[in-house]
Amino acid sequence: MRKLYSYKDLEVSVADETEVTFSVELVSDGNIIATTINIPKLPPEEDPVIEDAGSVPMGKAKDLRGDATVVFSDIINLIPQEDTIEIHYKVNDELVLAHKNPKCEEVRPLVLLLIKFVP
Amino acid sequence: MKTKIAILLSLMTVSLAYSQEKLTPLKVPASPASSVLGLQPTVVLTPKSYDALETALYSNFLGDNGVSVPDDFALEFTPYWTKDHGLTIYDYLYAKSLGEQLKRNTSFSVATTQNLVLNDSVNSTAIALGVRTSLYFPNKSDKQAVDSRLSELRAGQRTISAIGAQVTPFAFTDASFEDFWGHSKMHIESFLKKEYPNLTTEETNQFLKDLFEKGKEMGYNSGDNDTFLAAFINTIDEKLNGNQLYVEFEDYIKNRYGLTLDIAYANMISFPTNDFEYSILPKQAIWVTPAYKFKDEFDFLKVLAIVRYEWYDTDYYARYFENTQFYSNNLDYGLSAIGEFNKFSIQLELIGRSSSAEIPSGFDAQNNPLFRKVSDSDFQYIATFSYNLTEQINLSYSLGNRFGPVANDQNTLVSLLGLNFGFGAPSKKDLGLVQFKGE
Repeated sequence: MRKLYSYKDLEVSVADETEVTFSVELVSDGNIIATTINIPKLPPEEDPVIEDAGSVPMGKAKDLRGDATVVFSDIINLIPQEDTIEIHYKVNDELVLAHKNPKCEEVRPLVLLLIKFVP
Repeated sequence: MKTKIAILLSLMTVSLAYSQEKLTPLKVPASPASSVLGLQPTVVLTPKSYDALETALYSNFLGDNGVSVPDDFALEFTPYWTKDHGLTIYDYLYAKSLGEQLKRNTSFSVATTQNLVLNDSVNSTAIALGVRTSLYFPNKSDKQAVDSRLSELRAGQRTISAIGAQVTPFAFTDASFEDFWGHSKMHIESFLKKEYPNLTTEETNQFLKDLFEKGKEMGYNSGDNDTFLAAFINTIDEKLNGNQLYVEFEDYIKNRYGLTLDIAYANMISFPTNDFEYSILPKQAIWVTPAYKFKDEFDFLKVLAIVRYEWYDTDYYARYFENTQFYSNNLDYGLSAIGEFNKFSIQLELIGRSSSAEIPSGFDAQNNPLFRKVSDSDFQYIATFSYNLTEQINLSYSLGNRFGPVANDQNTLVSLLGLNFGFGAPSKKDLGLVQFKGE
């Protein structure tokens, strides 16, 4: 069974009018990732998806208040030279979470982030 | 001796414990350094395993003193993979330049022996240093195989991440499973239709029905639902064949179709008086090994062509290997085939050797030295059987007839047992503490 790494108490302080950008960065080599960001104001089929690494705009911070924003990653690492999976999640270039797990523990981790955007 | 045995047992114990979950089985040890030192009898340098660091211990199978801890040791090291580079899978599979491939695949090896016998009586120490690299030539079949597997994997990943992002908020409310399902079902159906347009309505309905039935039994618990969420997502992953697709792609990456070119160089440094201040470089060798990996029904088979050129310091051999026929140059050429069947593999090699040397034959009328050119040919055939005791410990046995060695050219029987240990790539980050929240 694939292991779910759940990070539920993440909090990011951003001013109301600030545009928020969410990024995924690869640290370890050869990761294959799909990351979906559930933005409450968007219909589900329009939620942005980041393949492997990249950035997506999430709109103004004031529109992200209230419930936590859900980010869900499906990660695979199948290159034989790599023995650790490490991924960085960032908001406006600030590190929110550094996920790291040894491959002997899980080669296909699922990563869940619940991020609260506060003023 | 007891200390050596203790160290060997410790290494095996640590490696056994560490290797339980490893996914990169080792192969027969074959570093350039150990080859030039004569620790391994085969001419073929099989491709290096994927471990950043490999060590090997060698022992003569038919020793005088029964089973003993060997004094012969080899180590091979690939610097590039000791740290992270953030490569995507495509960057990893298709290096942008030749230089980048060289950087990634270059490994350095060191081997040492304390059993280099000089003049039939003196045991001396010798060290060998080697370097090798490997170039892969991508081809159409490889590209198709990669794209097809990657596309299937990514469809499953997009589906799971989209479903995970949508159903999570409902998994953490004070609701029942039926409420959770009521909110989630339409999203799951929608994402399935988007990523798998060929699914029929019946298949989609069956998928949802199975998921609902299994979900009911997962112990939905209003409050902290990490365990339920993980089980729910895993059920979707199973139905999408996620693990199967992963295993197939991983297997392909380790056995890509097409042509690989391995190039290696090694030299031997001899310490004939066992004094560090006095050393000689008596032997050097270069290997060029093109290899071809077949596909489909012959995907267990790899064929290698071998060219090895060795050259010797004739003064050294004249002094320390008296009354021995030796040549200053050897050119080896031949073929090898490797068959891999899960944990077991067999390698056969047939190699011809052409040797030549210029030998002093007196002086002419003006007292200039005269030489005569001598040449010889030889033939080597060796079979190597190997078995992976664990993913990180490889046991190999070689049997056959090798080229006549310099010191005793009648001693051509090969019967050698090898034990190879692999270690992953430690990095500075591994030393840091990482906190995982939940599971």
